[in-house]
Amino acid sequence: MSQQGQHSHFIVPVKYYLRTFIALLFLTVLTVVIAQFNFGALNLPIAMLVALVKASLVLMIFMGMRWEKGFTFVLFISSILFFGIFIALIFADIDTRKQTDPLEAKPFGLVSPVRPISSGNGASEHH
Amino acid sequence: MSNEHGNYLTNPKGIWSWLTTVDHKRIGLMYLLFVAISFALGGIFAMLLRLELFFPGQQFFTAKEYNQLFTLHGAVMVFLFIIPSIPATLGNFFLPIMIGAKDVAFPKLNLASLYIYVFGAIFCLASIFLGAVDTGWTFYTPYSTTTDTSVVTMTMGAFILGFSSILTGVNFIVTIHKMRTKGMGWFRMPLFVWSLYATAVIQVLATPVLGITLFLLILETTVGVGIFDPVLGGDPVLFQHFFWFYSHPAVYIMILPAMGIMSELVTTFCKRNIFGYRFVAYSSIAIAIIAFLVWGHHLFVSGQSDYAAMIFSLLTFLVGIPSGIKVFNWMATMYQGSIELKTPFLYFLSFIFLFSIGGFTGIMLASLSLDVYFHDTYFVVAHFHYVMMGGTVIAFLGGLHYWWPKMFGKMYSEFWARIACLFIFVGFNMVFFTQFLLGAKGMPRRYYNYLDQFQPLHAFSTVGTWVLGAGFFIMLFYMLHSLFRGQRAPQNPWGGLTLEWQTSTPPSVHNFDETPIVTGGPYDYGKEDAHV
Amino acid sequence: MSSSTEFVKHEVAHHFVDAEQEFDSAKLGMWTFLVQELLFFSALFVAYAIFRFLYPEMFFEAHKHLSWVMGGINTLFLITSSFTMVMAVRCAQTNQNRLTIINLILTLIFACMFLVIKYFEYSEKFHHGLLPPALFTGEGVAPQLPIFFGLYFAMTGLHGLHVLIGIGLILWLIFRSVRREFHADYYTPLEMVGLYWHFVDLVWIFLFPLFYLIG
Repeated sequence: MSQQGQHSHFIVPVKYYLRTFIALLFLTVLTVVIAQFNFGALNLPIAMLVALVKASLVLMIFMGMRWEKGFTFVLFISSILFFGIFIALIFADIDTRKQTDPLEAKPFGLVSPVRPISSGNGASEHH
Repeated sequence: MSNEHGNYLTNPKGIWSWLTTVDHKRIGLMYLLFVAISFALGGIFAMLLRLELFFPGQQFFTAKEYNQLFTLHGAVMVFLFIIPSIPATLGNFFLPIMIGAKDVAFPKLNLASLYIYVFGAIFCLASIFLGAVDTGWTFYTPYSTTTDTSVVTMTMGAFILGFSSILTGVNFIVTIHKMRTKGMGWFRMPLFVWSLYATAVIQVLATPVLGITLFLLILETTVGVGIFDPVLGGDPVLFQHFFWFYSHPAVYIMILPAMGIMSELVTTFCKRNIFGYRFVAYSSIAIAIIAFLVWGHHLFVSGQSDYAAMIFSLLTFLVGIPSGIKVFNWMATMYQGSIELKTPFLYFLSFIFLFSIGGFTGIMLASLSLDVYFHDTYFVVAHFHYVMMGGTVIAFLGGLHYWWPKMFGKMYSEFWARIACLFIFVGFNMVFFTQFLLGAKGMPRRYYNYLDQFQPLHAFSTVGTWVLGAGFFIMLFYMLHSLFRGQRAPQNPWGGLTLEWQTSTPPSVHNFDETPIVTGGPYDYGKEDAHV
Repeated sequence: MSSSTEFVKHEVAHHFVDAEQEFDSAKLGMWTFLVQELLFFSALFVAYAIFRFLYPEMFFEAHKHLSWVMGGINTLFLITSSFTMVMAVRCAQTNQNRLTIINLILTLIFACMFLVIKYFEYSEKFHHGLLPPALFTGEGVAPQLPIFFGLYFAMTGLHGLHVLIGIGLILWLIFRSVRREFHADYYTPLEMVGLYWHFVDLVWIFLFPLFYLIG
């Protein structure tokens, strides 16, 4: 803890902000343009990649993460990590719902008693 | 013991000065009051439940009323009592003092979270009169979206309470990072502070997920979102995933601070440095992290896939490691210590006994094959009461007795305190050990009726609640007596070394008359010039 | 522009050692709060991922009901408002009070424009009955279409609520800036609201391609 006031804070040069701003505008246009073409299965990863770059720019420059102390970074990264755990372990369930253990499936001809959720009833008749 | 500003209880005076206070000590005490009331309310619900179960068949309540009662018991105990219990009361009071700070980092935010708590509690209590919820405290879909009881009011209450918890967590994290006094390095912090830190991390990372889940549930019951509705192609099990992503870490929000108190008690009453300080500290953090990896063990029979169940089962076993480290280290700390069997230490011993049973049965329930059999039986009920009540509540009581003299400047009757502790320990085991037997014999939970052959065990369990209740009544009386007629407490009745014992009793408004400078570890018993 | 003596002097709260500790605490607190916000949104993103994984065709069909032009313009608005926000903070750091106020007002305007466009988008959805399940009266091929709009309204609605709260906070900042409370020695609230505002921008950066640009 230094005894100085906030004079000691690093003031980010305007050029960083301006360049980031221009880059963000460019990337927004880019992602819209890319979306007009069909890359099949790659559509989502490409869109997410661009979004990730944009997000990192906002995080690093606008939110000043680049000039932050270590712990803030750890905090933010760990929250993303926990988000990753959240999604990964749920997908471990959702993605394997239809499968039955092969050891049981073969000799006894078992199928999972759980109805896969994708075979839900039609909503059109519901309304 | 010169008090520059006078002690915090009487300066300034007047009810208004309490309601608008930003002093963490007063906020802690107000929390204590509300939490105690909630505990009494939840306890009354529990005793009514047990009364109904004395004999098979309908006694006092219909099936629906019974469902409402156990839901209210669960919801009140979880959301209103046990989550804020230790962090918001003892934590709020002692965290800043233990690290030598004048207050938490954001005192106004602290007061705000108290009022948010009260606001949320009003919602929860209102829901009792608007058609009490009968879904169980877990609000599982699709029942919760179709029942005619006041699910929206109750979940709204829990949603609001969640923010109270989050803000407390934010406050504690920043306080621990930024407010430590000179010389108070990370590894000189009392272990209670470490456990509160781990708790705060879970509060901040997990509670928002509960918030959004309940928000989605409210949307689902009102305008619909469709994601939990199988008719539309949604998935009700997804609700359980979302719910337990918070609510499993939440049980570590409940138990971690309790473990922190245990570390304080064992060192003070054995006059020994903690065995393996860093291991105990890191194991708190390890529990906080593993907490997020295990939620699926609540879904073993909910239609979760086999593979996910296996992964979750494996990960759940990991929790045993840091918990075991803690218990073994406390045991090792006792070795060759000069043990004083004062009331707080009796609670410590009770904790070790009860928490170990709770922990071992937890390992049983984590095993996939066993859980399929035990799931939704009294075995599970007994398990989590051993951890939550035998662990957290017992530790809370231990902490309360340990710090009571410091908080109020009055001693309580040691004799009656020991009697009450005995009643609570015996009563608790009567209630819940019986339920292990009931569960193993196949008694399902959440039923108001049962087969005749279970009657003796059920009756025994019910009688246990009376013993337990008597213990709490004795406690109520000697605590009130202590408040009004108690002997003046000395500054350091137990000979503790942590900072809260170095300041006046009760502490002055700004905690310390002189900002303390720390020169050694928190538990340097036996060293000549320990501390300050 | 003007010397700092004309500014309102900031008193450090009693329980802090100095202004540095106070600022650091506020900043760490804000970051911790944002982490909380991130996980608050996370369940919605998880739900989105699951249902997009389960019903890719439905998502493809549904996104045609959304206008990427409107979404794109809104993205530009939010990005610009983020830029004016950092400039407002920077101007306070260099004691340029007038520029701080101008930048804050610009931020406010862009935030409001965002909501105006959101309003037009929402009213169009209401018109066609493309609403969450209980209110859904729209027409579509995929039977699970209401789920998309359930998620769309939950996610953009919650984001919109954050924008609304942000507008309130920016108004408060403008009010305080007019009273000359922010300067090189004290700009904590500006910095905190700034962080919050960038976070709102951050969420939208992901919402935009996920809802509007499903190729």
